[in-house]
Amino acid sequence: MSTHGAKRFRNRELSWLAFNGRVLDEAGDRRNSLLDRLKFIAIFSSNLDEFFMVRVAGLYQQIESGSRGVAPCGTTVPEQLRLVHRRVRDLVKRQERYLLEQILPGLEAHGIALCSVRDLGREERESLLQLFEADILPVLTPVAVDTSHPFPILTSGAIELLVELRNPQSGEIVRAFVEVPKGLPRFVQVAGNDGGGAIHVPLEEVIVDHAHRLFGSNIIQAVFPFRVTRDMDFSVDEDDASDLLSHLEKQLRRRRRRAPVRLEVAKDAPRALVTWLRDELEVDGPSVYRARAPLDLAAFMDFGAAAEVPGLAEQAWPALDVSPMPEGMSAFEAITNARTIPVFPPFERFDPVVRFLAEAAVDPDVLAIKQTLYRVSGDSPVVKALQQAAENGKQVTVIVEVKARFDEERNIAWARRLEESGAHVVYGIRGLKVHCKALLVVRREEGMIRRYVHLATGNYNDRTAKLYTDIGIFATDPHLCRDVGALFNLMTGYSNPPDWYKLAVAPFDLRRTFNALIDREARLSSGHRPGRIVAKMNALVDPGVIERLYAAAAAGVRIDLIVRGTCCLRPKFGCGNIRVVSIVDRYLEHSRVFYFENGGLPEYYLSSADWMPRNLDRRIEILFPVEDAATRELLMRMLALQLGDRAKGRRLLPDDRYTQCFGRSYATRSQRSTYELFVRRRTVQRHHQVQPILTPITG
Amino acid sequence: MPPDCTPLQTPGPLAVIDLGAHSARLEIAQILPDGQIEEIQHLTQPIRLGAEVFVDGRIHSANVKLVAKILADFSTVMAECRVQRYKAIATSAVREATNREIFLSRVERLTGIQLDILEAPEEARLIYLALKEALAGELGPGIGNALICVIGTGASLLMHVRDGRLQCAESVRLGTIRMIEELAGSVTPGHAREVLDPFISTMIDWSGRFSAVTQSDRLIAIGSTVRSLARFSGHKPRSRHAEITRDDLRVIATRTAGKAATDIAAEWQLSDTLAESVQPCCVMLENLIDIVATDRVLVPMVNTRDAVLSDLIREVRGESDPFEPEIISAAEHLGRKYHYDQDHARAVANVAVRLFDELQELHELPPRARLLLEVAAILHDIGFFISNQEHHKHSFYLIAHSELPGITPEEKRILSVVGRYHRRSMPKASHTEYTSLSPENRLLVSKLAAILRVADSLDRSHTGRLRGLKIQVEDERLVLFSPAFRDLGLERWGLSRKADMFEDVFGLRVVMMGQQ
Repeated sequence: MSTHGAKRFRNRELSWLAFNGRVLDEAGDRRNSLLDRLKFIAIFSSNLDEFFMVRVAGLYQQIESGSRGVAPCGTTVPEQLRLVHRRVRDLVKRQERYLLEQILPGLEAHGIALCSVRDLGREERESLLQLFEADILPVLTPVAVDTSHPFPILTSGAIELLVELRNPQSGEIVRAFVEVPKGLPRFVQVAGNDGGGAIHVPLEEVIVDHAHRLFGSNIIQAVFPFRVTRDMDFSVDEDDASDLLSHLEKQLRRRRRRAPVRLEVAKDAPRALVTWLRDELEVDGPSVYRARAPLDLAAFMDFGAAAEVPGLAEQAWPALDVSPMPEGMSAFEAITNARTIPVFPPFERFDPVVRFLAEAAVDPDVLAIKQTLYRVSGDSPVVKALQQAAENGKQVTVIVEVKARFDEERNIAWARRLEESGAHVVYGIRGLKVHCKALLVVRREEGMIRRYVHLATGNYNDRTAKLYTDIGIFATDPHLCRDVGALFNLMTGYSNPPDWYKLAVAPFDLRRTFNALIDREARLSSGHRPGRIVAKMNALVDPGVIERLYAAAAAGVRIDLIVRGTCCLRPKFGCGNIRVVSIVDRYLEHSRVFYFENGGLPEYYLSSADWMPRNLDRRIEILFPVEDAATRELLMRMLALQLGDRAKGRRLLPDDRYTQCFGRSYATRSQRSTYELFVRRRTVQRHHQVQPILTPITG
Repeated sequence: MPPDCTPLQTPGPLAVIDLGAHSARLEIAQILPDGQIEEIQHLTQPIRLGAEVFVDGRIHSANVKLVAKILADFSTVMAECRVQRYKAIATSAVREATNREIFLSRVERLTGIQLDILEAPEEARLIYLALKEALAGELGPGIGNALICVIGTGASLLMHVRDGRLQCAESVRLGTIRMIEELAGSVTPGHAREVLDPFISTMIDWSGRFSAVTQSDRLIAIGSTVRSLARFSGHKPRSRHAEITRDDLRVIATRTAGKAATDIAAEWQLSDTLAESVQPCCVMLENLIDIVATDRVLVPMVNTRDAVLSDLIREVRGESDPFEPEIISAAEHLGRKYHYDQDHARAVANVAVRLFDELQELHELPPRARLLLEVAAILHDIGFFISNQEHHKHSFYLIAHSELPGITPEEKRILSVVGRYHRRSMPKASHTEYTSLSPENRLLVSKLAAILRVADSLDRSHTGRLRGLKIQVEDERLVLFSPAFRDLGLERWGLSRKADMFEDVFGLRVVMMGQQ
């Protein structure tokens, strides 16, 4: 890449922050309902937490290790950190403005208020005292810091109170910490206010208000909430880990001690105490954030949802039934009849996947079930079905990616439970994260082995399937099934990779395949008939792929990229042939779809992978073709809607800025239009289904 | 003897395990209702057995455990598909290991999988059938005049085809990895050719001395390394055969010259073993190209595993062995090598198989025994090449030490002993070649030798005048009626000396009758 010089790529961290800025735009978008805007406030914060825990932590790690590396964009690490902190400060200021000046007042006007304890009446405070003594006090554990008690280990992400106390007899000053329990609701509804609306106060304020009860005769001189974010990006040294699972558990315990990368404190916290905290935590100046709003705004995710005030949240788009899989018909029969059944959550229900698994678990003809699990929800019906299948004597193989970031603890719990039920649980492949989403069911039908697969762009997670736009495909194509079988043999360590019929698999040939597809488009492109690529993904970071896209664009290929998040490609190097759009809307755009025109014989692919080095080189990912004509048409229409989205689609301009979309109209809002497309399609299909009955019987 | 095959209605998935010199592979397939074969699973795991066996002559314990682990995994996958019938074969490395029996028994005890050694003649049969099928589109039903070379890591197999019929198959202890191991130290990157060239040409010359390999019109090569080379020469994936030209070989040789195997492996995405094999394989192919005087190598994209699977499928379907004509032609080629009397051999073979067919109820032998009888009839007199005296004994050891494609080692023993008993003494307790056979095979030898003796005595004149012979069993007699000739004195004299064994084995006196 050096031959081209730097600056051919946007900075990855700033590009990500720009994405989170677009999330924040949604919180500021007055066309959105108040509760939806509040949700975006929460998402913005939750995203930012993760960004600090992983990306910012990574930058600090690089500094600590003395690395003098320069990012592909040409920026040094200290420079990146400086830019990141500056950008974050701007964004957080904007977030606070939206929240405190627009959203919360707006909600208050609808009777849903977030107040400070100070603003409550006597009676209301009285009721909070009862609540404090009954529910809160028993779970509080104050920890003092003095000569005999060293500075404690503070939990990452938890809200802590720093209390400065004075002993009235000795005059001695003591400092203590109180962790705000995560198990309690973050916002306490105040009893006694008359019906219709609801008044809430933050939990930490209730604790502050009654903190004197924790410290006997000591006098509280100062108290304020703060929050520490730690480096959570650790890699498991698998060569050292004979038992990956217990090694991981050990790592998770150690996590509490990892280096802090951010300190958030309440705006009015005394300067001296903040300095003391900063020194004790060894956090540098730029990493201290003073917050005007409450801390941990991610907790606003469910705020006010219970109030059910009409008009406060956008009307739901009820997920539709997947029509080729009607109730009452066996999933196997339905898939056999239709050959290919695409599933588009959250526009369509995720149920068919769960149903398919549940049916397989009890079907006497099913011999084996194999599945990858990356992130599964709490109390997952997917895991339950797999457990049941194992208990029913099926050969159940589950590839659990215990290293899925932030979900490690949850994943270990599933893994153990599945093992206990008799499933063969494989904890990923040495050195590679298993990120592909694949499900294979082996069934015996009339003495023959018949296989069914479900491949998807997103995880087998019934919760996220309500929020993330993903695409899954049920199929019985023998070549595809054979490849998926081989994929599992690869992941269980039973076999080396074979020659694939239909799949491309990272880290083996996925990069090569993408390269070949892009290069082919360039080769086939002519002035008379320019090549065309439409690629939709979450992030575009890989310098190798980006250079290939620049080259294809230079060869005349028209390239449309629908990249929700980080995009390191700079359209100005695309010879006017590369357009980038980012869609941020009520559902999280999550599917990876690839279209290559191939000189008039178009090819459609779906994938679990983004165009990022980690996806192409360090994970097990798959790319699979979509050959079913009806599904291809749906994909084509969805892509067209997304490319034409002027309501929630932001274009990346040659100056590296995204367009704003604060227009009035929702007319071209692709998620809405896609949902309507599915509604219409279902109506049409129903119509088709009754047709045969009306056909006159002849003869 | 191959197991007696009865066709199954729904055989279910079939599996083949192939334990080679550098990898273990599992293939599971099923026969679809329309007769098509569907591949269900294909697993492959690297294992370096070859390097160990070619150097130390034996398989070490660590590799026994590794093989057991791999086969146990394979067994899990087979169970998952409810595989009912499988064939598990071990090729060159295990075949040559001095501790092969211990190895096989340990593997069976650890995994429950019974591995069979695939001997060279059987390998020749399987590969030949598979390549014929793969090349049918290109060459039609016949292969013409060709030299076929199966290049392995430890040993290679040379087959010579003339007028579309297999003449001979001979294994040579010349394999890509073996060459490197045996010439270890002398082969350095960049100088491989100088060392390998004379080594290879000596081996190939030796093998070609008795066979007109130089009259071949084409060169066909098989083997995993050859297939890798074909891929670099622009082979289209999934087409059934490829071509490598002399120029391609030169390009490959230039590109790999002076490079270490690990670099070749990384660059071409090959396993280490295959990468090591690339250079020796190129040199071998260039030598073969020179011998055949062609400019290209035809590469059928078949492997041992596919070949074994096709054979298993034929077996399951109850189809006859399409290789039998090749066994006959190879036997005839062997006969020619020892200057046999072709007309006599053919006449005796014809009468022998007629007797076999007509007397099915009497001898109750399986169809495979008919083939053995025919081969024994073709070869019974080759001992004359050594000497008139005791020529049946010379026939015995010539057959016993010749390579006959498609004939198992046990079958070869049977053939040699049948050849031995085509005249003179009947089996005795002092004949160890006979007594060392299993009781069933002793009976088989006796039955076949008894029939062969009768057939041989009927062509005493060696003029093949037994056309129209009628065969009948009546009372306690086998009546042979020759309508064409009156003077059967010679035949009757022959019978009087040779029918004793028939009477002994079947309890029937043999009577010759001519035109009244």
